[in-house]
Formats: sequence, C-alpha cells, structure tokens
Amino acid sequence: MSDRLHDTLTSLRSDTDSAPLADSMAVRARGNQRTRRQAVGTSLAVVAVVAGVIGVSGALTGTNNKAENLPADPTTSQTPAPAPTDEARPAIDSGLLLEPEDLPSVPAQTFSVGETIEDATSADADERSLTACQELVNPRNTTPVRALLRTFPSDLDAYGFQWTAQYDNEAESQSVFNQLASSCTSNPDRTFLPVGPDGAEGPTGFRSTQFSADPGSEFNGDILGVARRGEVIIVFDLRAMVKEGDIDLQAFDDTLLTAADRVANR
Amino acid sequence: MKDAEGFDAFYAGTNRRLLHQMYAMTGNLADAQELVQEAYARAWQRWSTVSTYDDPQAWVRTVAWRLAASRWRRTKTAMAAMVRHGPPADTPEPSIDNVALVAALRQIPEAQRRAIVLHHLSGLSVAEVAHETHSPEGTVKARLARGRAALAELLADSTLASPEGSHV
Repeated sequence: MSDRLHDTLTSLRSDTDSAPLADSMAVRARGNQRTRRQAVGTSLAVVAVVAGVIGVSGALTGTNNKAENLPADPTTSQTPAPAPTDEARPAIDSGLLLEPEDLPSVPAQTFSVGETIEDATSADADERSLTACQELVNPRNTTPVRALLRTFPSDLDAYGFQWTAQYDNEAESQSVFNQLASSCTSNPDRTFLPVGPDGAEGPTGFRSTQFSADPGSEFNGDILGVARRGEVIIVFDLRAMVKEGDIDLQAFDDTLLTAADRVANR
Repeated sequence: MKDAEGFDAFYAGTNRRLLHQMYAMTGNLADAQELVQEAYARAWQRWSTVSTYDDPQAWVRTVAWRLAASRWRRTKTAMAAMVRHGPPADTPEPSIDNVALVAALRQIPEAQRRAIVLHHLSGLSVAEVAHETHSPEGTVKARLARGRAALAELLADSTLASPEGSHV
C-alpha cells in the first residue's frame, strides 16, 4: 500500500519496535491465571443467585416469616392467591431450558451451552448470599422441589445462566418472587423494571440492571431477570464486559418471557 | 490439551503488528502494550477454539479493541496501581516525530480512528473493515474520508487528505 497515510502511520513503528512485550510463556501464564480466577468468580456468581433464591425460600418457611418485614414490592398486587398446583403438573426438565439462540446478542460474542445442566435442587448455598441483587440472608429451611441450572459461556467474557426452580405451590413461588423483587428495588445501585403482562398477581417478571464502572470488576454489566409462572421461578442472568446500550434490553425481556412461556406450556 | 507451540508461534509472528495497531488506536504505548498482552492472554484461554478460526489475528485484534474501548472503566484501577507501583519502567518515550501524529490520532473520533487503522495500517479492505466493525460499507468509507481529512488538518499536511493509492 503506497498511500501517504499508510506511510505516516507506519512511522509509528519506530516507537513500537523498541517497546518490550512479555514472552509467550508469560502471556500463557497470565491466561491460565485468568482462567482460574474466572472459574472461581463464575462459581460464586452462580451460587450467589441460587443462594439468594433458596435463602428467600428458607426465610419464607422459617419460624420467623421475614417477608412481613421487607419493603413493599411495587410489582405485585396485594393478594397473592395461594392455589395448589400439584395436580397433573409435570416436573420441569431440561427440555424447557433456554437455548443459545434464545439469548440476546452481545456484540462480537457467541453463546454456547455449558457442558452440563446442573441439578441445583440441593445446592449448597450456605454463606453465599452475596449477589448484587439478592441480599437476603439464609436460613434455608426448604429447597425447591426441583431446580436446574444451565450456563451459557461465550467466546469472550459474556456469561449467562438460567436457574429454573419448581416449588410446592404457587403461593410459595409467588412469595419468593415478591421477595426477590423487593430486594432488587431496595438496592440503590440497580434499576428495576417490571417485565411482561400483568396477571392477577402482578407482572410476570422483572428486570434489574446494573452497569458498573467498578474498574476492578470482571463484569461491567449485569442484567438479571426473574419471572414466575405458576409454581416455577426463573432467574436469568447475563454478565458481560458491556456498557449500557450494548445489549438490547427488549431482547433480554423476550428471552426471559420465552423461558417463562416454556414452563407455562409444559 | 492446548497447543502451546502453535500459540507461541502465533504470538511471535503477530504481536508486533498488533502492538503497532493498538498504539495508533490508543495513542499511548504503555496502554497498547497492556492491551496486546491481555488480548493474547485471552486468546490462550480459548486457544483450542481460536486456533481453528480462519483469522485468529482478527479475533485478537477485536478483543484488544474491545478492551481499549472499555479502558475508561479501568482508569481508577490503573491510577491506583500507578500509585502503588509507580509507572511502568520499561515503556520507552515516543520519538519526537511521532508525538504530533499520536496527538492528532487521539483527537479524531474513535470510530474514524479505528477505521483508519484497520484500513491503512492493518491493510483490511473497506468490506473487511465493515465486517469487523459491524458497520455498513458506506459508513466505513465516510469515516475514512472524514478521518483522513481531519488528520490532514491537524498535521497541517495536505497530502494526507487525498487518498493516493488508497482503496477507498
């Protein structure tokens, strides 16, 4: 290329030629270290949301019902109607979970599915209620009837996970949902919006976002959605090195509602 | 098992070129060094996949660019690290001749700078730049023309304004 501009830009090479770069072994070591750190971080993030939800459930059914002391939830109506849902409702299974093509796009990143779908029914969630949204602390006296966790790693830093939990009845799932919403609305660092159509018990779900400028954070954007259909709660979380505007939040809502619809139609 | 030998060869064969490009994009040699090393570390993390791509270098370049684009978020950390450890000792000063060019590059909009570096320094065609930046070709052409004109004005070098030998 004989372009004058190319020649001008090429002159910068006189600076870079003398600039040292780490040798490849050091770069590989850095990558390995990063992988180890991410593995720990991802485990904590997944366990945190699970812990949050299970913690809520535990609080609900414990001897002290802490739900009464929580801030009011603007997304739900005043009278959740307990209704037994045991009859003829099949258990949730992996066929109901989201697939990578259901996920909202993140610039330059492609999602796949994690190698395994984890049975998170009896996840060991103690001491881990440290997620950005759910700050309720255990006791966890009960667990969902069944819970599945699917992860969505990507080419780069984006990471998604879907936690789907089936409770004994609608009253329990509604209360869990209410308390998750309450804890998100009471977190001043997050924005919160209802998602989906209103039913007798309020909106189908909500979305809570946090775009952090925390420079030490591996994830700069966190979009958390929670939806309830019947006795099932779905938590879908997407974390990536993104700023607000990089992700179509309407598409995120569609993903959440898709997850809810599959449960409803099972 | 990842192919360390293949990665090492890839790193050795491409890292200078990427450093050069990132220097032009960021206007800061220390930043460029850090971005390049981080991008390659990430490539190593996924090397079993990245190595199968048609153009692994494009992948690393995209990662480096994304890291650069988000560097403002890490400014506080960088400053804190600077306070703790002092400035990096092994970053040479830019040559006097390049100071004006680097300053000019930093003054033009980010999108124009990226298009110029990809097209004029990385040697990508307009179509390839459009693909890599997820932009229409017409937009890329406009960015190149405007960026070139802006650089010419900033450097008071009218010869830069005309795309002699350019593919635009």
